[in-house]
This record gives sequence, C-alpha cells and structure tokens, in this order.
Amino acid sequence: MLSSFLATLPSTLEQGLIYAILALGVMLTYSILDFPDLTVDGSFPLGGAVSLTLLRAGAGPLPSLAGALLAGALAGLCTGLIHVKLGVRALFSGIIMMTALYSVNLRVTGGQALLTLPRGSATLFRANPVAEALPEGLRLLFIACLLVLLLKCLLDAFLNTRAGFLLRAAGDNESVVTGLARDKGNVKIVGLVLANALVALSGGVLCHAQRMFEVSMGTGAMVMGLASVIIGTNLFRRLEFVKGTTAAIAGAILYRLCVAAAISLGLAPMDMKLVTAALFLAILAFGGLRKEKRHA
Amino acid sequence: MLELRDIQKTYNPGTVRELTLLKGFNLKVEKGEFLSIVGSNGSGKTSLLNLICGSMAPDAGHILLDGEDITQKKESLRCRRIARIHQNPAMGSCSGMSIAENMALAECKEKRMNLRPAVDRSRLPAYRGMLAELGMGLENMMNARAGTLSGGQRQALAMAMSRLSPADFLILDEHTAALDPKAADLIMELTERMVREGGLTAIMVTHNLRYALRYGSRLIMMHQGGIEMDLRGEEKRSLRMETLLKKFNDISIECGN
Ligand SMILES: Nc1ncnc2c1ncn2[C@@H]1O[C@H](COP(=O)(O)OP(=O)(O)OP(=O)(O)O)[C@@H](O)[C@H]1O
Ligand SMILES: [Mg+2]
Repeated sequence: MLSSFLATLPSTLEQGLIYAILALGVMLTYSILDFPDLTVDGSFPLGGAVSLTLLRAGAGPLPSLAGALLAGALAGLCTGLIHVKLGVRALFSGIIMMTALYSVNLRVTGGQALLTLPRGSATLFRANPVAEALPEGLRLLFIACLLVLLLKCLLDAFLNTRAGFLLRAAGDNESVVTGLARDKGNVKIVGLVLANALVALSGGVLCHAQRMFEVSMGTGAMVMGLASVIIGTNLFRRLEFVKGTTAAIAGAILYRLCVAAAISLGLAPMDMKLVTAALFLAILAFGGLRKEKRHA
Repeated sequence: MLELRDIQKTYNPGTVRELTLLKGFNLKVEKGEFLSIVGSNGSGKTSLLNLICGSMAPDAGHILLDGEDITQKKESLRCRRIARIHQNPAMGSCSGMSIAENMALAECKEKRMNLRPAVDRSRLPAYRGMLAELGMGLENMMNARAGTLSGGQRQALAMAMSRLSPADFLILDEHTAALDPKAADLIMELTERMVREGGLTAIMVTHNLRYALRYGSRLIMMHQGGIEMDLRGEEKRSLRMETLLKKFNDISIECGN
C-alpha cells in the first residue's frame, strides 16, 4: 500500500505542480476577485485542445502553450463581458461560457473527443533543448517545477503593481475602486482574462505531459482548483506571511497527494470524483474555514 | 458650481414600500463653498450625496457641474473630481490590504494603473506623517490590515487616504460619527484645513450641530427630503445654537417624534 503510494510519488508531484497552475488561476478569481468563476471547467480543456491541436499541426511547444494562454484569455474576456456588460450574474456567466466552451473545444479538435500526439513529437517535456539536458526521469518534475515557480513569481510581482492593487481592491471593496475613479467592471474583466489564461495554460501543460487530450478533462476542474486553494488557505491560516500563491500551490500538491493516497488504499479510478467531492466536503465542514463575511 | 435642478426620487416605486423622498429638489453649491447639512435620520442626506456622486440616478431632474449636465455620467467618472468619505467606515478602505497599501492605493488615483510597483517605499515616511496627524497611533501599525482596525480608526484612515487623492469636491457623510469626541475634534480641524488649503468645495453631512455651526460657510437643514433652512454668510455666522436646536426640535415635533 505504502509502496504503491511511494512508487507513484514522482508522478503525483508532477500532477500536483501542473494543477498548481490551475489553482493559481482559481485563486485569482475566487480569493482575490471574489468571483465564483465556473468558466474554468471549459477553459481548462480549451487550453488542452488548443495546445495539442497546435502541436499536431507542427507548432513548437512554447507557441502551442502561448496559443492555450491566449484562448483562455479570450474565454475569460467573454465571461467578463457577459457579466459586466450584459449584467448576468457571476455564476450564470460562468455556466454559460462553460457550456459553450464544450462545443468550442470539440470544434478546435475538429470534432474529436480524444486527441493524441504522434510518437516523437516535441512537447514542453520532451524533444526540446531544455528537456534533453535533463536526466530522463526528472524532466517532467523539473520543468513543471520551474514553470510553476516562474508563474508564482510573476503573479506575486503583478499583485504588488498598481494594476494588481486595483484588482485586489475590486475583490475587496468595490466602492474604493469607484472612489479611485476606475470602472470596477473593467477591473473584473481584466481579472477574469488573467485567471482563465492561467487555467488554460494549466490544461495545455497537462496535455503536453499526458500527450493526449480528452474532451471531458475539464469536468471538476473548478472544484479541484477550489479545493486546492481552500486546502492551502487553511493550511497556512495562522501564518500571515505566507502568500496566497504559495498556499494555492501547496494546496494543489497536497490535494494530489490525498487523491494518490486514496488510490493506493484500493479505490478505483472511477471513484475519483467521489474522492474529490468527499475531500472537498471534509475541508469545508471540518477545516474551520468559513468564508469571512465581507463588509458593504 | 454644482447644481441640482428639480430632482425627483422615489424608492421602491409601485410597491407597498413606495417612498417619494425628493419632490422637485433644488440646490446650488457655489465653488469654494463649505456646506454643512444637518437633518434628522432618514431625511435624505445620504440619498442627496448618492445623487451628486452618481451612486444612484434621479427619476427626473438634472445635475449640473460647472454647467455640464452630469446626470447620466457614470459614478466612476464623476469621482475623478470628487473625494468621498462614506457614512459606513468599512467602505473607505480595503479590509484585506494593509494601512500602507491602502495609502499607496489612494495615491494611485491620478496615476496610470500600470505595472509599476504600487507601494513607493520613499513615500512611507510621508504616509506616516499624515497618519500621525490623526493622533491615533496608526503610523505605528502601517502593516496592519485595514479590516483589523476599529470603525473610528478606519474612518480616520479613509480621511488620510482622501488627502492623498486630489479632488475639487469633498463629500463627507457623517465622517466624525464613529470617532470619540477628541478624535472627532481633531478630524474636523483637519477637514477644515484640507478644504482651505486645497481650495475645495465641500459638502459635509453631520449630526453634530456644534460642528455645523462652527465650520463651513453655509448650513442647510433637511427634513423629509426638503430643505427647511438655508443660511449663509452673516446669517450663518450669527446663528446661535439655541436657535438651531429649537428649529430642529420644532421640525421633529411636527412629524410626531
Ligand atoms: N436604497 C434604498 N431603498 C429604499 N429606500 C431607501 C434607500 N436608501 C434610502 N432609503 C430611504 O430614504 C430615506 C432617506 O434615507 P437616507 O439614507 O438618505 O437618510 P439620511 O438622511 O442619510 O439618514 P441618516 O441620518 O440616518 O444617515 C429613508 O427613509 C430610507 O428608508
Ligand atoms: Mg445618512
């Protein structure tokens, strides 16, 4: 039991790191913008579909991920416009986009629900100069780790810029944003664009790692991201100096470890969503973290 | 000059809770005027400020600023020229951000919201100085989150923040209500100085008749959405507390409390 857990530990960590990018995106909307964004279930596979389709069309690993990033940003933009300009409630804006994206994703792949990469084609983790320079077994872990660190540093830096402050203010206290003579709706749109770009990137990277895309890979992405963010926030609740980004990443890895533990205890892969739900429930019910009621 | 022309406002129209608050309301505020507004609870003071700032739209009538009709102008655009302190202390700052971060945010009002670092370390001593003037020791808790401050401390922080964001108009809604008497006196002195030094036009709502008498160049008393008294210049200066109190009580008795 323990041995099977340990045997899969490297791949569990790899997965944790890849989902950490998703968690960073969800943190941006849920914790910072205070916006329950269900677009995630659609933008996560969107990133996968776009990047894998681009790879198959002969694009390099980085351009294919740039494509994923851009597609995610566009999805976030749509959700933002629906919410802000058409006045649709946050939850519904996300649901609308999530539903629409399911078809969009199939359009992107040319109607195929399953897409795989031909043997030998280059990905972020294989057949590129950086990967070649690394020992075989460590490639995925190392590159994913590097990417997550890079994104974390970028996001931390961004959240301390003027634009980042405005984003934090929009989630914290809308009247302050208005008082600064800025349109709170536009700020929200920017936040959704950034968050969904990250989420799609995460989906893209996952498809690079698995060398395949599956149209249902987004189901439960939102819950997974949320669970990660909430586990992380809970874990470091008493340590104020730990940044939200760090907490989200730690949460994503911990979440994957829990899932791996459940599998090594003998649960079948088809029970995974049940494990996810149970885990999420356990954190919410017994984690002692009830969302602070906000003022005004 | 700010002008409200024939403003109509009805809350919850068509329901049992329908309340017509403003019926042909008119008000002119000259540039450089410091207007104090007093009036009983529910007389429409905050509603008036909300109309001026654009937090809500009138059902009919026009709001003009320096001759320009701003009735349809978005609140965020109007705020370019307005600094506002809300009646609710929590509305003035971000709970999750530190005092220093809130100050830095306020200072960004006139600047471009780009990718420069928001907090300029070299400005921290200046922030400390401004906070020290409030006499609450806020300068020693620059890293405390605003959400952990008391209502009065938070209102004082909002006051300091408003000094960092330039404006022509200062709109104050009972900004001393959450403060202890000593702090309130101090903040009023600060307000006066801010208006004078900045050459601002100010509208101050207060329940403190003493402040209404002592500060400002003009005083109006509101009652049930109307103006019951409007004094300025020599009339305002010679107004005595007893007269003001009597007027206030007479109005309240009229409507049965
Ligand atoms: N959003 C709203 N919806 C319905 N009624 C409202 C709303 N805002 C204010 N009112 C009503 O309008 C009247 C005036 O309210 P307002 O807040 O302007 O009073 P105020 O003079 O600021 O009182 P206070 O001194 O208590 O702050 C009240 O009777 C109130 O019930
Ligand atoms: Mg009021």
